[in-house]
Amino acid sequence: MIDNQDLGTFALYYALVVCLIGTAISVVAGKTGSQRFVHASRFASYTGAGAIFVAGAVLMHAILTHDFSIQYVASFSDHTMPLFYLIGSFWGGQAGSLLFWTSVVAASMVSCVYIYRRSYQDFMPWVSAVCMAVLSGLLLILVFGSNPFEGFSIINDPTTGKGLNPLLQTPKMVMHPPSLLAGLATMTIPYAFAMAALITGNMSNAWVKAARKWILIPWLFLSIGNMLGGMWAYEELGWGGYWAWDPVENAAFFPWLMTSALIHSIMIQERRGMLKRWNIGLMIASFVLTIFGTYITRSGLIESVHTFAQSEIGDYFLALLLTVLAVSVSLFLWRWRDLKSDQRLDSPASRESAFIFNNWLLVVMTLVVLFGTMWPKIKEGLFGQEVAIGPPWFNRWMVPLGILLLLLMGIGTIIPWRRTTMAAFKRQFVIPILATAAISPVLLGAYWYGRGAALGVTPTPLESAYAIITVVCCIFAITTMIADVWRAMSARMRKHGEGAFESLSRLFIKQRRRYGGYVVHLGIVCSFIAFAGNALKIEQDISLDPGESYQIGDYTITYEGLTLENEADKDIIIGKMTAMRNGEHVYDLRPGKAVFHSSPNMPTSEIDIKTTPLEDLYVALVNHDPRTQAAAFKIFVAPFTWWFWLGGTILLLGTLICMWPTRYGIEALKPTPGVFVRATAFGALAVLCVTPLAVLTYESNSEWGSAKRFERLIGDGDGDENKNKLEQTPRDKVRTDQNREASGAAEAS
Amino acid sequence: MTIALIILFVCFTLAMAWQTLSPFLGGSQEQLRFDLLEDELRQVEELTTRKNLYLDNLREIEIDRELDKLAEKDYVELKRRYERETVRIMRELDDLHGGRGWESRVEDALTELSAGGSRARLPEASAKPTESKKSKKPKTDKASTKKKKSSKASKPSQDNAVTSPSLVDCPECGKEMEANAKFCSECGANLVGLKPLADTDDAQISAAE
Repeated sequence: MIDNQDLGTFALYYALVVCLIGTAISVVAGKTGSQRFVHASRFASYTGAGAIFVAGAVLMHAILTHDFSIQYVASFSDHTMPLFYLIGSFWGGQAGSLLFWTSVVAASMVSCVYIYRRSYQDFMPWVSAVCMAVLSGLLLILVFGSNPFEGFSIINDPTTGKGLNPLLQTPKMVMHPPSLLAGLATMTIPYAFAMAALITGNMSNAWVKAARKWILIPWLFLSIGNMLGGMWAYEELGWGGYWAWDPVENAAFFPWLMTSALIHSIMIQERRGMLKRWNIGLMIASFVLTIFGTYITRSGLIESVHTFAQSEIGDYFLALLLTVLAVSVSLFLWRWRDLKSDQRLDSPASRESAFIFNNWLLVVMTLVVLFGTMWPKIKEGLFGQEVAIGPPWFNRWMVPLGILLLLLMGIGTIIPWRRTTMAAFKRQFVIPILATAAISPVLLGAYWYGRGAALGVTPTPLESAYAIITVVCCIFAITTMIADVWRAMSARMRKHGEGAFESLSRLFIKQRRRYGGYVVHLGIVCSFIAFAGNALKIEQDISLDPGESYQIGDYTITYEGLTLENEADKDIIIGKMTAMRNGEHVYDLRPGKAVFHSSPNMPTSEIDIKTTPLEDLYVALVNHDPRTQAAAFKIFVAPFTWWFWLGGTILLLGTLICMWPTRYGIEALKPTPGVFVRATAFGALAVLCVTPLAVLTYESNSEWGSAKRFERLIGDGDGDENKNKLEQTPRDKVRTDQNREASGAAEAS
Repeated sequence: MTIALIILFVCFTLAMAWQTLSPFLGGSQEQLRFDLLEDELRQVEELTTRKNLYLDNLREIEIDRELDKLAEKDYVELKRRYERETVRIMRELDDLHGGRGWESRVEDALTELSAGGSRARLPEASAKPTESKKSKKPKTDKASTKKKKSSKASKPSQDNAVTSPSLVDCPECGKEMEANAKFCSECGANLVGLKPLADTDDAQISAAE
């Protein structure tokens, strides 16, 4: 019987050899155009990918069957972990996450090569070559730097493993790394198209047209990944917010910003043949930043909450980074002259200019984040001084830049191509501006007198100004979108005699890229409403004795005491609290802390968040004194945070609308049954997009989101049952915990 | 479950490895044929993709004009450019289909003749090119990605070649077009109402007999 170690390692070596040979074959195919070599390069990419999938399947098999002779399996899983977290431990550590990354690059390469097997034949051999070269680089790191199949020479205790980091044992954390890794990995495909264009010297818009949908894929996954990461930080880590400008968060944010810029600028190239150099440059930068982000995370260069992913393979990533950078920049410079724009900008008051300005803003934002992330390290290296750049510094820059971007989003939606005449300006802009002027004071006033004033917060003048301008820009962006959609709908209704609903749905079907983009913008607008709400956020760190109350906003929080629950793998300390508003009981709060027996020094938070569209009430148990039962809490009231998650969800759905394949796209998938594939793939993605918001809402309205669910373990609070709780087997406890079963958190094992 | 997955991926890898090597394993004749056949398919797919992209672009600018986001002058200029490109690509597609189909029909007819077909079949054979040209048009328009079928599809229609509509000469540029074509694919001239050439051909043949 072949064991997992041998088979897995052999598959990795085999994949490496195939990818190296495949790269060579693809280069020959690209240079000679010989169809035999083109065929061979295509199938070599399938073969390499197949071998990588074998390695992935072997690792998954080893984890699920608890093969602790493999170091990786012993380090990141144990017997007690449920199936769901066992699957999560595939990417819970360094080597596994790298193998996952490699597998995603392989899978996206296979899909791309298959879909374009009969088109873009001048590009495809080079696309395969670039993808297989990148895969070779990753496989080299896997084979020589961190082999997930490395075994123990002497097994200390073959019966058990160390288990997954407790912080990662939440459903969001099982999904966050693969989404982010998939986002970083799939960036390879559009990058390969850009490289293919540079190598072939085909500087027309062909690469943009071929790559445009593939650019949306990393963007979608990065969005999902960042959103889930934010949710995890908000709900599990106790940061007090969804974004803290942590260096590793930033590392995933650079490529997202860059890709956002690219998605806009390629439209200009498609339509006007401009910005050719800029687009290639952005594409290279996006790809390089994905590797750079991974490098700074994994090398341990910067310190952050993501220390669990650090290891010794930083040097390998640095080598990969420098190679990619050197090759890309050389090719770029070599073709610099050929990349001249076909046309010039006609007028600064045009859609092209709005898009170009939007690109500058996004690039400046990337540079600001990059600087803020790296400067402390650079300064420490150069001058030996330690400096810290915290959220206030980032906010000082990013807030005004973000508001400008929001304003441009409104303008860019309706401004005409090439130039804006006075007549066009009147037709397009007057109604949205008037509507914004009319609606903004009403909405702002209604909120302030209806709810905001009751919170008792007086923001600084600058904060108030930012918040008000943001809300006004949000309303402007929405009115421009409504005006534009209405104009298009009425044109269809006039021309085709359709009803309002039919014309709207036809617009989305026929022009999914354009109107999908609008939906994405709507998501961004919702997120900005959440940012504006931060101006009225109240945050308090307080210490309470049992029976004591505290007033925050118009909530009165009363702390009743602590309880302790024991589970098979952890102890849970639960704070009992109630929240009253205007003399009425509104919430029972159960913030808690879980101490895993496997990592007693790493307690995890069970934060209780009550979320509504108007505001979140957030309570985290920070510390406690078991003797006196006094406890320290972080409590805050954050208006409109819910809108951030809603915005994220809308953004993801909008991206899906843009990516929904056209008739031609489906044809390219044949002979597979296109409709089935489309329905399954996009159905699954749509579910994935909606899941975070659904989970958040469920958690907020049920005991699942707080430590209260653990109280149920001991029945209805009867004294006798309490006494028996330690004698219950873990299996019995699972049976009594109805909530867990309902939420499907895979406690089954 | 995971074992099945491993076996599946191993089989996939081996099958793909075999496919990678296969073009280099046959004799030199087979390798040559491989290069030529693939090349033809490749060109059709390539042109079809590009045509579809231009059609999409045309649709986009129509909507932009309707929404006042594109000045009339720019619209006309872009439309002209895209249309020119689309027509050029469609023409290339026509030539590719038409040219090759025509040749193969002639080849078939010659083979049939040399195999001892009766003299009476000569007119039928000579009518085949007409048919073969006709049978290509709908293929190009309908699902040009399915080029592979084109040669197969033209076979059954070979038998009723005599009953098929025949050709007309374009009065402007002289290009041979199908009798049911409304416009010339070369110069765009209106062909509605022209008398098919085949009618006169058939009349001549029957007169000769």
